[in-house]
Amino acid sequence: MELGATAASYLPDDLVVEILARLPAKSLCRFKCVSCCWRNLISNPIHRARFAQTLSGFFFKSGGRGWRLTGLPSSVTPLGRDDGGSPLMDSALSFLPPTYREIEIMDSCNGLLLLLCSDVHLSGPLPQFYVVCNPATREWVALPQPKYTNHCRGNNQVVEDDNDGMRKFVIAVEVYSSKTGTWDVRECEAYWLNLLGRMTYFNGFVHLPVEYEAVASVDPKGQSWRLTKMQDRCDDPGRGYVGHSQGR
Amino acid sequence: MASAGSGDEKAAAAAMITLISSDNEKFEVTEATATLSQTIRHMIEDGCTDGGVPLPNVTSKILARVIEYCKKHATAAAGEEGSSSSFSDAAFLEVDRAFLEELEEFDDAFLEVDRATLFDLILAANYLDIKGLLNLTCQKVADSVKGKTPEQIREMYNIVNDLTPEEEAEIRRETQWAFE
Repeated sequence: MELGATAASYLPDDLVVEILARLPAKSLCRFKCVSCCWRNLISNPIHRARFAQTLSGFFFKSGGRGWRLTGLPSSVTPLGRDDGGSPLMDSALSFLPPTYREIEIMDSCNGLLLLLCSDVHLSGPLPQFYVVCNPATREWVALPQPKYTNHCRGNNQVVEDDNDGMRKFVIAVEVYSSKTGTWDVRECEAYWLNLLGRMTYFNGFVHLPVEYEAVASVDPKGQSWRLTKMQDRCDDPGRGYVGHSQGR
Repeated sequence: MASAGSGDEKAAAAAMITLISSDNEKFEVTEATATLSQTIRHMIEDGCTDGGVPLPNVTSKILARVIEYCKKHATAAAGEEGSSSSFSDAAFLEVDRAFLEELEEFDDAFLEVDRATLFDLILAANYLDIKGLLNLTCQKVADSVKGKTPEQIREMYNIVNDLTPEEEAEIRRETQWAFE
């Protein structure tokens, strides 16, 4: 590949790969747009293991054999092409202790997963506990039990900042801080909020769709709550959903 | 280290290797300096360095820079071996740290070259298989491009964009987060 106008500034592909291997994932993704050659080098499965990980995909459970991950199809790694879509991470979550059973994935955010696990080594009825892990780096941490027990299983949120895991109630949100290693309760003072759908985390706030066409937002670090009313009333007041669009 | 061994070491340190650049210039270097290059190390092990080592891919200008790097880092490697085997007290750690700082300053100054020279150094480091130099020079290029846009990359390196507008739009759509 001609990298410069003169013969002196020419670098062969394998040395371009040496340079690409030292770039963060964001630059790599952007540089797929430079030329066909760069796009192919960056997408090439032979080189990919050396690059910063840009994998995106989704976990699914198949036949009780634990979790598996499939990459999202894209123009450079079409679905069904084995070499391009196979994950370079431990999608079976085998880095967790083998005594952890009944692993459920509750939520994910920015590469972190929030899991709900049981440990078969503990006697008595299996208490469930939360684990936050990064399958790409195989790092994981088991969280202490929150102050409230699992009243509201299924309404949990993991947020990117500081590995905070989070579970929510109709009248409060409980936040786990990986910095302090403790759970904190964010009481919702004035409102009695009826949660309608899954919450989402964006711009430092957790947003929850609630009854009467509103979105309640809480800052996991502070104590401030905010209620945003929808402009347009919809026909079905029993449903609501907040989510991201194009990463925002 | 036994005394018999140190005699051999002295002989090895004194052994000189002649490197011959593509434009036929000869450079005399110690074996300790030359063996930072895995390529030359293998040639020495195979006993085929008599009469000089021709390096047809490396010009005298670049070879002089590469030797400058190897001399400095060969001293560093020798220093590390000495300190790790015999000394571990604070005074020597202090000396080590000062030396490492000096080495870092040397590397920074060494990289103050134009782009064409930097590429030539990468090519030479790759050909001569000098891991430290390859890492240093590639990291320098990576640091200089990582915040750039695709357009700036094409401009910097005279790369023709041969993606169709549709292909480029598709990649941008898929990796929009990387452009924010």
